[in-house]
Amino acid sequence: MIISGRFIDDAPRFPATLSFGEHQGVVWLLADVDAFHTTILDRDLEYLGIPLSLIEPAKKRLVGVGGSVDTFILRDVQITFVSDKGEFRLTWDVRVVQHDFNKLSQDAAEILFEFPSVLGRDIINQFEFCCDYEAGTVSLKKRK
Amino acid sequence: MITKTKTASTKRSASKKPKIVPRTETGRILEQFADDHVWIARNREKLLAQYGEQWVAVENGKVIANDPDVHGLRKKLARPAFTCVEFLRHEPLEMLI
Repeated sequence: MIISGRFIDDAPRFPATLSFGEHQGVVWLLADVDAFHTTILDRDLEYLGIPLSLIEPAKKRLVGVGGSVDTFILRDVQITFVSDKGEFRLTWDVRVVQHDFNKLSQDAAEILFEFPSVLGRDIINQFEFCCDYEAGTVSLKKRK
Repeated sequence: MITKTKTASTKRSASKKPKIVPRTETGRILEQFADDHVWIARNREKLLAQYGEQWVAVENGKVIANDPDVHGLRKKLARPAFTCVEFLRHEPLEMLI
């Protein structure tokens, strides 16, 4: 079973639908092998329309180059990819980060909304991750 | 030994389309979503001239809304969670995630 992604602006990304209760939508997940967790970032959270009241605080804050950030968990999110064998669904607890825009300059806050959500090792490591930029192909392969 | 030097800016903006896309409803939605982002990447220069430093929403290869503010753009969309949106920046960000 092979899930094919695309390179968008040179970055390997996988399109997926996310479904959480009545909230559904489509996101790009940037394949990030240095990320522990698959994580929804600020813009996708807003566009998916998921209220903060449905999100529980995580025990650990996620840490990035710029420091740590308020981190939450969205439980039992249905993530659907399209593979060569049909739809591939995962029910997964995903992290959600919420930046405190009151502590950021306007420029920094606006830039954060350009960041895509992240496909982390919690999902990538269930597959053989193949990334060949020269060939223009990126995929997640499931061994039989 | 062959030595190749490249910078990110000289590389392609979007990869080729995967060969196999199942004809399910979700497959159709994801394919269109991906195609719209690829369309933006391939038409970036033209779009920048008209919508530079703004967010744009694209459906089926057409700009359906634009706004300098990401929150403002969301309010203009009927189905924001299913719409391809992107900020058109004259100087692309160099991100580290």
